[in-house]
Amino acid sequence: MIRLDNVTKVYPAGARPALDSVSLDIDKGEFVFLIGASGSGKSTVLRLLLREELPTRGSVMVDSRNVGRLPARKVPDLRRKIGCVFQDFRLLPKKSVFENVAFALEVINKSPKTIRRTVPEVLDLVGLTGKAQRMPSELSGGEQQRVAIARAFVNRPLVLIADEPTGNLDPDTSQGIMSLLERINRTGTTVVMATHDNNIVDAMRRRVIELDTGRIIRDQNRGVYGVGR
Amino acid sequence: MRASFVMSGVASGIRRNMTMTVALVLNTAITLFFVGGSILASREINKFNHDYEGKLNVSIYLCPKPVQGQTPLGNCRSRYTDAQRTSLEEQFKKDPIIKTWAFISETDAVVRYRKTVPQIVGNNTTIGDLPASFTIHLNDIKKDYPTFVKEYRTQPGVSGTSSQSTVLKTLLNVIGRVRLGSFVLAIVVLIASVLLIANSIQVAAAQRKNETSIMRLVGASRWMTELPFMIETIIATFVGGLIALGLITLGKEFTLNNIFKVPVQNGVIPNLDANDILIAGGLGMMAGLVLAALTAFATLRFYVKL
Repeated sequence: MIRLDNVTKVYPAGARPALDSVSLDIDKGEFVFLIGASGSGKSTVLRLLLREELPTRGSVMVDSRNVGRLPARKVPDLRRKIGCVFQDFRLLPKKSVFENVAFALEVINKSPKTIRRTVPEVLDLVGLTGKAQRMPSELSGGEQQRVAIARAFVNRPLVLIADEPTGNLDPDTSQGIMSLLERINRTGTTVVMATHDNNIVDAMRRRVIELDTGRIIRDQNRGVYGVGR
Repeated sequence: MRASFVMSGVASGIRRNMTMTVALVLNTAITLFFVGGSILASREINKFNHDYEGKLNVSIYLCPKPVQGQTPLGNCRSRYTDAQRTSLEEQFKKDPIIKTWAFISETDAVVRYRKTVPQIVGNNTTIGDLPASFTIHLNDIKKDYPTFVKEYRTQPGVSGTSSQSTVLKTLLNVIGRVRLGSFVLAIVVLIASVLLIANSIQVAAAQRKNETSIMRLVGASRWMTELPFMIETIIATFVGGLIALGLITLGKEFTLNNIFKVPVQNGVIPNLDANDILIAGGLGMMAGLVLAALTAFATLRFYVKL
């Protein structure tokens, strides 16, 4: 599903490469944690997958497409196959829960009928039944992240990218979000999650890819956060 | 692309960015007023040319009786003689550049003059104060006037020649300068408008960064993210264009139906009708809309990451 082949990324102002000859393969339906200190290159990997950045060298493949060589007009198609969740939720504060989720479908021209059918389904999936008309400010942090996950998943993407989705949440709420991501992963969606949360990584025992100063220093199935330290 | 979704984005964008939109509308109105004004001035000049072409005459002034102490005009040493007048008329008959002519005696000249000036001035003018002349209609005044001058200016009994086209040229020069001034102002304000559009789009895009970044991440096409900004700009330009149309109408009413009311009524200055105003305003509006759309498009493509 995802393949990075000898990828190097150098930012114009960077003293050293953000990623240095990184190669990795992620299969369809895998759940992968990307871990590493700040500046290790986790976010760069995610940005390359979304084609927010282009690799300086090497190739980035998503769903058999070379992301780096994708013409600009094809980028929206790529992004429709990748859902995104962020630490800061990025909800639209003046739209209700329903409208926030529907927004992701409206902008890709889904019909009102599809929207009316799909949004309640995904709100049920993320555990927000009955909260469709609430505004984001009326929700807890965990609930807001569930809305963000619903929005990322409503178009049934092949890959869900989560950039520290539990970074702003307490441990109990984080656990709930992880359960939700696990449930989404069970539907066959590949999940790639960047995190600093060792408790979550240790509890989940999924594949762990550790980055350090732009290089992969560990790639371990059923890994834990702090092994070898 | 669902129109209702795009238009609701446009409406909320205008609401959020109301002061900037108002600034854009006013700036566009002023710009298009000047653009329309210069187009209207061009139409007035064309009408002038069209109305007066073929109606303009040239004159040959005959030598008046010399006044003691004054330098005689041209090659005049004494008042013209009847023989000189007849000789000129004989030449007119044979001259292919001359279509018709009429002799205006010194008496006729004073009578005509008195009709055009206030009584007090007219009463002070006596026969002999104004020279006798020929009013001549040339076949092609523009082409033939220089030849005409060369042929007749130095004839015996002739004190000088003049052409009404010279007077008209002066008037047209004045209108032409107004048109040029209006055009230059239009260009200056147009540049300001383009910069204002570019700035307001950048500000609007920054205000809605959260929304557009989500749109981008969920796979909205570039057009979907850009279209609301472009439509907002086009709406503002359209409203500005309508205001400009109103300003052009008022400007025309004030100038032609107020300042130049009498000459317009007498048919000396051609009037402009609703059609002229609609053409001037409409052309200005179209130019404004195309420019606004292009500016918005270029700004979004090159200066705003949506």
